Amino acid sequence: MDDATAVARVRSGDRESFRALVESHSNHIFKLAFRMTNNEQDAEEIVQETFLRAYRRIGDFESRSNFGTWLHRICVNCALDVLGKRQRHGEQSLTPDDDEQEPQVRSEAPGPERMLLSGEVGERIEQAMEALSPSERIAFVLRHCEGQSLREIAKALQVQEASVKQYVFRAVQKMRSQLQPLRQHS
Amino acid sequence: MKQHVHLSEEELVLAHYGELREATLSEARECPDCQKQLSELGGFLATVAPATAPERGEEYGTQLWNAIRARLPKKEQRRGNWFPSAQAWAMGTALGAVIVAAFLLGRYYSRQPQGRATTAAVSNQMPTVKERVLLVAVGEHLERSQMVLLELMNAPDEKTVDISSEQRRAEDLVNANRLYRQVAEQNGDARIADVLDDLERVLLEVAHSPSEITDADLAQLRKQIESKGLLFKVKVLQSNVKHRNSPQARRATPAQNGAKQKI
Repeated sequence: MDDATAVARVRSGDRESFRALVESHSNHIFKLAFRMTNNEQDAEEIVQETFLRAYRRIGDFESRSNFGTWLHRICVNCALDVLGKRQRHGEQSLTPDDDEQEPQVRSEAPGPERMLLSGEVGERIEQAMEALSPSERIAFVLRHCEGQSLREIAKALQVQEASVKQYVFRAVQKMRSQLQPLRQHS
Repeated sequence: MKQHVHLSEEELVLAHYGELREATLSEARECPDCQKQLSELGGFLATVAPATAPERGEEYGTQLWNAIRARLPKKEQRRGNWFPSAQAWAMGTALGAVIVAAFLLGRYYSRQPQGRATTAAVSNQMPTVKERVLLVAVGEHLERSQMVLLELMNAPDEKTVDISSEQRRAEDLVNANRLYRQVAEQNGDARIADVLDDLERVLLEVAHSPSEITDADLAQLRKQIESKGLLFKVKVLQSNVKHRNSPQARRATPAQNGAKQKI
């Protein structure tokens, strides 16, 4: 069943048709949520909330739009909520297996010394990411890791494009200043 | 001959991501200093690679469906319920109280444009003492939110603006707002949920901003508030709640005087 058919059926009251949408988009949404949070538990929470919110608002979905894009925007907003909550509660949100999940540092020649340094850099990068505001973090991940344009990000976050420019700029600036000592050291 | 102005830090970031105007970019290509800066920035950003998401198997979609299926709201239950479920009442906590308030508020607000209601329907909508207390709480939440928005709109136009006071209050308001919004959504009150969604976005933005922001940041915040007509919507919502809880509205209860009530 394609997305358009499934959406039409859900809108007409067929709840079970929502399953097709969940099954076809869940992996992509999980990956996106994980990249934005770098935390498996938070990503799972975001995925569930994204689909629940999508179901509740499916009446607002414009049929001519792409369901995946619409879902992507909902996911971004759920991530904003979760990161905001995490920041307000001062959580570090590190899970026991976080060592395996930190942003990877690109490495041409992974010798032992290089790997040691990469591990340290990876840890510092994640610390620097934790210091960003939720909007800065999400805008940065969407621009830097997902390759989305500022316009697309602005639509997803429902803010002006100029705000997204500021978020991305501040994110890069903060990360550079936090990682400066490490860069000098290396 | 026109003098070349080096790219600002912000322009360097935009240039790296290919978001700078071509005219400015082509000028920068001719400048060794700008090229050097761009190359350094590129080198730094190349070290930041995306986190690798753990693999999810082919069954993930099915597992997820099983996890959320029971939580999907049933449409027929979302419509026409005037009072909260027994479970909501059973919570018996402050959270429950907030949910009830939001529920009642949502029902009330969503009925606004529908004109006159029948005597019986209005009688059902009249708040009890307990509900009135809760409506006051919701009204206060909206009033406090409105104050934060107003202060931001009327903040002095200076180079840097201290918004630490608004920020603290926004942080306090976000959680309550989220609860109201979620319950409004669950009950299918899309209109109130939309207003609260817009409000939450601005409150989050304020809460997550630095305590001192530039005039440009403040202008962005104001634009965000203005573009959605948020202040007006919150004002209308708050005024509706206030009216509903006013002595006049209660005196006009059909159960007491038999008259029809306009809502």
